[in-house]
Amino acid sequence: MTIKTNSQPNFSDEELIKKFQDGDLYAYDLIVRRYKDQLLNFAYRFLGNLEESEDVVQETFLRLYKNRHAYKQIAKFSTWIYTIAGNLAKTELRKRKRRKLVSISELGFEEKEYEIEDLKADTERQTDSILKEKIIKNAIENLPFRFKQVIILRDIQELSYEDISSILRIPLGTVKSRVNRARIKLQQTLKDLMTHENKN
Amino acid sequence: MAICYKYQKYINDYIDNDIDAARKIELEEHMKNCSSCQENLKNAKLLKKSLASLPRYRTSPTFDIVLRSKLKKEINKSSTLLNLPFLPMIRPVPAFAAFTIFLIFVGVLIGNSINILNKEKTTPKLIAVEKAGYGEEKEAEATQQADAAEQRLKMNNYVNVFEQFPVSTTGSRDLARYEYNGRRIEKIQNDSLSRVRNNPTSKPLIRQANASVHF
Repeated sequence: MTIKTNSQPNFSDEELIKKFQDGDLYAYDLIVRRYKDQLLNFAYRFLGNLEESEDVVQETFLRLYKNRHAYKQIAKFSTWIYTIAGNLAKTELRKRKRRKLVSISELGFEEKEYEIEDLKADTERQTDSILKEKIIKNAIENLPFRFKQVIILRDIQELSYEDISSILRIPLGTVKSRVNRARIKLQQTLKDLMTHENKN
Repeated sequence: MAICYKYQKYINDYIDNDIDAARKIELEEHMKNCSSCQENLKNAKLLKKSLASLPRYRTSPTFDIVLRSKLKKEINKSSTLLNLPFLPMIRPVPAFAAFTIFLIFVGVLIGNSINILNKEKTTPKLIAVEKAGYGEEKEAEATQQADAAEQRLKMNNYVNVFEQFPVSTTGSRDLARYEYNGRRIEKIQNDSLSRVRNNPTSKPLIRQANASVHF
């Protein structure tokens, strides 16, 4: 294995995975850096718990390491890694359902410190933002799983319809229709919040 | 809030900026007279914005350290196993299935060869068939001959035993019951027995009975 000190991190995902498949661990490191926060947020919107989400992301990168040769250049790397993370999050949800445990941390805030990107300094706004997040988070959690998947991928992760179709292995038309229905459901659930926001 | 279903789809495409010009105009025309769709569009935009602006979290500072330690374990684990390049290609379930099929195949082969060896030792049938070659007619003919030879052998065995124990009727009856061609043998045995009973010097009669049986 070769470890290269690369001064050009602007490789495409596909180039990086190719390098990693050829034994370049620096490329693996770059992939981890590129995707760890994206995947954390993705998993978090499913699980609603940051520590569990971080475990899912760790497991995703471990699987990437172990199964690096399973990736074929025919697929987009991002859709491949999102599929792995999504499946792991789904498994975690199933396990949780089986355990039927409701931990207190899920209802409140996590013990571990996680940094929030671009959080506004204004305390009032911060409180407002946290409350709003909680309301939206609850609304998303109450969506049926098939709607939850698409809304997270489309409106939170902001992936294209084509990518979502590849990740979930469902036709493009189905993705669009599910997004449409998920948005209607969310609008209905968040009616009060929307009215409040519109007034402001 | 009423939903104009046709236009809801258009609204969805509209906020995704994925709507063709004709539909865009149609939607805008419709919204001029539909306050419900106007509100829907406003809410849809707001929802999209709210979802996109949800706080983004970053992994904890220990993330990289933990991942590296897990990776190290993984690398050590794989290096303690046979570190051969083809191993990652082997999937456990198909490998197990292939191994099971292989075992069954070997088992069938061994079973067959044992069976053939046993048959060679005990039955003249197989020898006869093999000697005759593998043509269908020859095989049928050889099978008939072999069957006849087998029957003759059994009968000879029976008669030999009977000659040794001419007065032991129960013994010979038991023996006859276990013979392959039981009913026929028992009939001959009964005939022979009646003759034996009538004549104490029975040996010639038994030979005669043996000779009168046509196979």
